[in-house]
Amino acid sequence: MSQLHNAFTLFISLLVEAIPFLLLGVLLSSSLLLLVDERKLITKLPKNPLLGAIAGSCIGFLFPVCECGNVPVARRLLLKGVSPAVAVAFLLAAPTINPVVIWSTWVAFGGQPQIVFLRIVFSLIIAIAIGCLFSVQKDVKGLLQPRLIKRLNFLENQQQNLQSSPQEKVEVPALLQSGSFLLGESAQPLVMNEALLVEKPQLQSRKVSKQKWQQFIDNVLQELQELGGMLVLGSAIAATIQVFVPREVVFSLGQDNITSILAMMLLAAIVSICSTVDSFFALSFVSTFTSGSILAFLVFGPTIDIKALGLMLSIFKPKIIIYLFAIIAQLVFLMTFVYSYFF
Amino acid sequence: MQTIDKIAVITIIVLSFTISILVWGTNACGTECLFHVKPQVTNFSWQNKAIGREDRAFLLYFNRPIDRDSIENNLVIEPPLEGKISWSGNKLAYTLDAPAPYGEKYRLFLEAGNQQFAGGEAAGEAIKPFFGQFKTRDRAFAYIGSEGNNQGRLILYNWTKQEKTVLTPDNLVVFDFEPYPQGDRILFSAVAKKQQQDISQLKLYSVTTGVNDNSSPAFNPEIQLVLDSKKYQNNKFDLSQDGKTIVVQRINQNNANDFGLWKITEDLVPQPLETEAVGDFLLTPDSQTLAVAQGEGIALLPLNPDAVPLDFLPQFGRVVTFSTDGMAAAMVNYNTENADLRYTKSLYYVNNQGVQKELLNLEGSIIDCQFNPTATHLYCLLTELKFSNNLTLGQADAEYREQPYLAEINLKTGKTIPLLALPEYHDSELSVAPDGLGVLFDQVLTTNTPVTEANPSDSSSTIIKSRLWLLLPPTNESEVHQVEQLPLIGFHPQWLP
Repeated sequence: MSQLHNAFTLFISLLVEAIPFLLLGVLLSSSLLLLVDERKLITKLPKNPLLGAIAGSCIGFLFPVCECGNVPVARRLLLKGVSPAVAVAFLLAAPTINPVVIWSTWVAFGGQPQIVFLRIVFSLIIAIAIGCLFSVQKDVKGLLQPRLIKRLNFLENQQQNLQSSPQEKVEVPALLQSGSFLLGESAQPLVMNEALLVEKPQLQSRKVSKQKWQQFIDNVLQELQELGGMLVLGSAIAATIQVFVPREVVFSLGQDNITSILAMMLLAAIVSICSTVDSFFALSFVSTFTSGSILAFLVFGPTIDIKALGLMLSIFKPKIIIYLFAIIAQLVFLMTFVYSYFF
Repeated sequence: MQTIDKIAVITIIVLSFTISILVWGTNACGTECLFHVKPQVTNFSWQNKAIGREDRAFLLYFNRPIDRDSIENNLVIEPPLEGKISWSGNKLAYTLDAPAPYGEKYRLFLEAGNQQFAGGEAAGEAIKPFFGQFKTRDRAFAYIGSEGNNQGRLILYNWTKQEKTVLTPDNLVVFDFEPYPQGDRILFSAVAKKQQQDISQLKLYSVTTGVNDNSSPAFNPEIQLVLDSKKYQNNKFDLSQDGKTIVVQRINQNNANDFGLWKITEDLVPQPLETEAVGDFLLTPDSQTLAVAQGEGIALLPLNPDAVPLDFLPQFGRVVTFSTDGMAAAMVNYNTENADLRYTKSLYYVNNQGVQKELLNLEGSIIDCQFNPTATHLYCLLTELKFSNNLTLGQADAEYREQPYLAEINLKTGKTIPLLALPEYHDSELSVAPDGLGVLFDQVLTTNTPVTEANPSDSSSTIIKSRLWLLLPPTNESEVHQVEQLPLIGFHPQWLP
């Protein structure tokens, strides 16, 4: 009974910690949908995979979201047609490379500035490396969940329709087209479609803004429903594991430099603590775990944890998540092992 | 198979291979690997430093989690300094029980100890032995000379090096002085020799002492004017414990109603505090507040112009001294409210826990008191009111006389031990060594002729003979207090912090 109670407490605490960030991410994602013109966005982002990954890693500075809030934003970027290098680099780097997290790490580890510095550097290396790796996949749809592919296809079709509509206007008589029409503005009846809304904003500005707000709210609700469900599921799994695999068991795994790193990575995945506060949690292990393993916790936790796995499943196919998990874990281990050898 | 699958699998294989080689390599060469960093001390906060009374704890930083017992058992300081160990993460803090004796060199050894892992029962890798060293500042005090060419000049005596240095030039007569917190400078008030009867011309200066300054072999004291006396006359002053603020009582040379306290900060620009009429004052040890006698009580004022008092202690008339750590104070209650105790004074111990303990009640005066460094004892210069019949003129002529004496008060038991009766009453001060070595005081013989020569004294008499004395508290070797006359002629001795 007490275990159930503990699990419930952990579950609620994970949710309470994560939901504000998820909400922030969803709001940002919905604002991107409405405020950012994807054609402009894509032209502004570098085409080169390396530069794209670097740019993606630094977007976190503009959107201080943790590992729950980054998922809706990354998903939105992919739907907007941004290259996988940028979106994946953003997904992995944003939880660490943002002002809130850097500041909280500095508050906790100001006495050991190398931890703060290396947390940023290691996270950047991982995000850029994996961003570049994912850029080899030319067809983005190979990475994504079927549901997301459907949505992407729909959006692409809509985009094509919007782009081709001016020609259609010439080829097909207006009255033969389906849809709503405005009469009396000129000799020709006007078709009420999205292209028109873009082209003649002065005509319909009030209607447009009302429609946009409606679209914004719809999107927020839809994403919250979808991602919130995943978050609840992920949190429940993380809480259950924490109850059945107590932290003491994880600590006892740390027998030497190597196992200490592995133990802290495992702990990071299980406790699923948000990147904005994980430094303070890690601080309590300074006297019992090597600084290499603390670093592993701080780098690995924000990229992969059980709570966020559910959210990531809303973007990627399971096998892609396995690749991500394996490569990130290996890179974190490799870098922190080398660190604990030299320091 | 898509491109991403191929690339991901290849990456995973390459990374696995690299990790295997690294792990295998590390295990193969054990603890003697090339470039392998052992568990070790990464920083010792007192390394090669000259510490003083303000330094009560050092920190040892380790690069790895450490078996705390192994470190505590192997940490050696020579000569020994008693203290307590505490830990915070990979940081060891050693807090001294009492300030380290001055003028000593200390060495710290940590020759053994082990790394520890959270889940490991067995002792981890041995640490790299560590050796550290630090020293305490030279034991030194300053006084005002009263003999021959040194009359009225500020003299520094470096006890550690057994060296005497005259700090001020012959043309200045020093009235009062106070050392800066590191003992590297002294703030003093002085007048030019040709104006020595005119105390309205007192100026404030600072002078370097050369203590702990090993940069130049030939030390030359450097004097800097801190406050002139052009428009205002400078009276009493006090220097804050952090050495950044000076508070001076000043009177306008042309308008006696323009009277008050001024604050001088590091930029040396005096700023009036615009407080109400105040009497005696003292800066608190936190250097942020001023304790001033105001009306019939003590007001605690922040150091801003026109500040509202932070607190008011109506039952006390004077703050005699504060402990160095600022936790306690000795205050005088003049018993004006109590008819039975009228004309007597009570000395109180007051601390920041709200304790107010009466230490003694006497008819004589409380001239000066100072806490010892650990604030367990209070040393006081007190007087006993003596009634005597003077028959020299052939008729009974009763007179009261104040007999000064030096006393030690144990603050735990509240017991007062009179230690030494002094022959002559004189406005005097005592000075307790920052490391607790002993109490310096002067014994002055004066004549009641008007002030005509050098060596001004607070009372209207002239010093004709003045010697410095040192009172040594009981130690392991001696169970009683010892008094030693120092071969130095002068008055107003004060230890450098």
